[in-house]
Amino acid sequence: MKSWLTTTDHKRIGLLYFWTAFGFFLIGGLEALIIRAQLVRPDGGLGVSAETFNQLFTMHGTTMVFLALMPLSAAFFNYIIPLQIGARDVAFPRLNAFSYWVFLLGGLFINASFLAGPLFGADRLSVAPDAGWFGYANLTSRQFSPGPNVDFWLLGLQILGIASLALSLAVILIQWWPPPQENQ
Amino acid sequence: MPLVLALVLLLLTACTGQFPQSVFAPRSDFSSELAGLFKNIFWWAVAVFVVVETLLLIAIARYRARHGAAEPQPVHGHTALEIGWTLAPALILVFIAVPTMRAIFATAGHAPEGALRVEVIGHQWWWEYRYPTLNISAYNELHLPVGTPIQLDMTSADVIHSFWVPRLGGKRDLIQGRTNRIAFRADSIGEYWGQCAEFCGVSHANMRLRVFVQSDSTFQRWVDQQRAAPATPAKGSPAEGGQQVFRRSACIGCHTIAGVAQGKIGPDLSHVGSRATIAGALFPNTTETLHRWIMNAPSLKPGALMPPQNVSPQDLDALIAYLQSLK
Repeated sequence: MKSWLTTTDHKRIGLLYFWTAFGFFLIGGLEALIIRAQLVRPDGGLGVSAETFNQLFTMHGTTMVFLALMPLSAAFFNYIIPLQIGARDVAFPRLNAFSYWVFLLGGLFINASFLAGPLFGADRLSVAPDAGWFGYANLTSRQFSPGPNVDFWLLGLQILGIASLALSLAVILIQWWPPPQENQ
Repeated sequence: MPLVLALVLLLLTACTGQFPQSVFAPRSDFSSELAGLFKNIFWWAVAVFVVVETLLLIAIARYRARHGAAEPQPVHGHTALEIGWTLAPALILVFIAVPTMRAIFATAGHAPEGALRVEVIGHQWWWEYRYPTLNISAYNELHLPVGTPIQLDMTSADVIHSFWVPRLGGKRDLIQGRTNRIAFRADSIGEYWGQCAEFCGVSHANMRLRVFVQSDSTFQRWVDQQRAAPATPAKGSPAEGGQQVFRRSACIGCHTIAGVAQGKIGPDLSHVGSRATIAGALFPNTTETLHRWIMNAPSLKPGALMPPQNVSPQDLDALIAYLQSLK
């Protein structure tokens, strides 16, 4: 267990990425299931409120793009590329591990909004992002989305962005780092 | 097999019924252009599908592994074949690209000289139409003369919306601070349904609209009606009591009735009785729906800015009588 928490091995990090992304994929699928069940007939098969429906499709889109699809590709190139090119690992294995844990943090942070309502004095449990996964202004601005919903979305995506940046540095620089003479 | 048949029948039930928003029944030059382009590309796609799948099935059948059969001859380096399968898709793409570009320019939004200009303003969650040359306004229900070129200049008062009346034209976004245009000419009289097509907040799905395409004389009658001063209720009628209720209630803060109130937040009610629908074309304009709407608008349309009104039953009946008298 501890070895998985502290691992810097690219295969293990690839697997961590894979299973975490797969978990988020299931959550996104569950959201899609509720959306479709609600649309079974006009005016609601499940009685999901308009607010909740908007949260569900916003979170479904965000989850599938940023928490499932992108990290799944991260899982594959983390695991496969060093093997393909015969490198011992990615360029910066600790940065690689850092990237995974920051990704997990970003994913949990966005999804925490489903339960964070009371922290913000909202009259409902969930303050999940609700302005669409595409996040068009002006709907995302304070005037039209006064709750913390869009803040969760923005901050969460920024955290995920740090994870992507760290990972891309760790993988792209394989061919230059370590320098060849040290790589005997 | 019976299961497959049952499933097909179930699917076919989707082909019955009325589709007021079908893009396959175009009633304007704009939507005919789009429907024609769709059919054009659809048949090219069918041709490609048939050719590719046929070749695939032939290859599977003819070149499958057989005991003792020789390896099939590879076609690598076959110049004629390679030129053929490069040229054929390129040609098909030309046949698709040319009509597509033509449709893009044809629907770019420039109406000919003398078109009737209407300014469309999107609000959360209703539509405002201003006819600058006729000096009238309309709300949610757009009235247009048949056969006349129409120019819609569209913008938004708050967030991004999108104007979409599938049988006439669209979708095109309404963006705050800029003007997007649609031009079309409706070719048959009728009532056409539309809705906002860009997610615009909690009641996006409730932001509907209707377009009434009318003969010149019917359209002119409607214009004259909208231009006239709002009806003055007769002395002692229920509507007169309703006007008093309107004057002393919160209504005047948001709604305009020419000569009575000048609120600017909600739609102008000077001729609300002449409309077929209320609440962003969401409900028919009847006593019952007006009753429910005034008593608790947010329960019918989440996020609606009009708060539940605290009106006595008698006052409410009078108020509705007044609103219905505003033809």
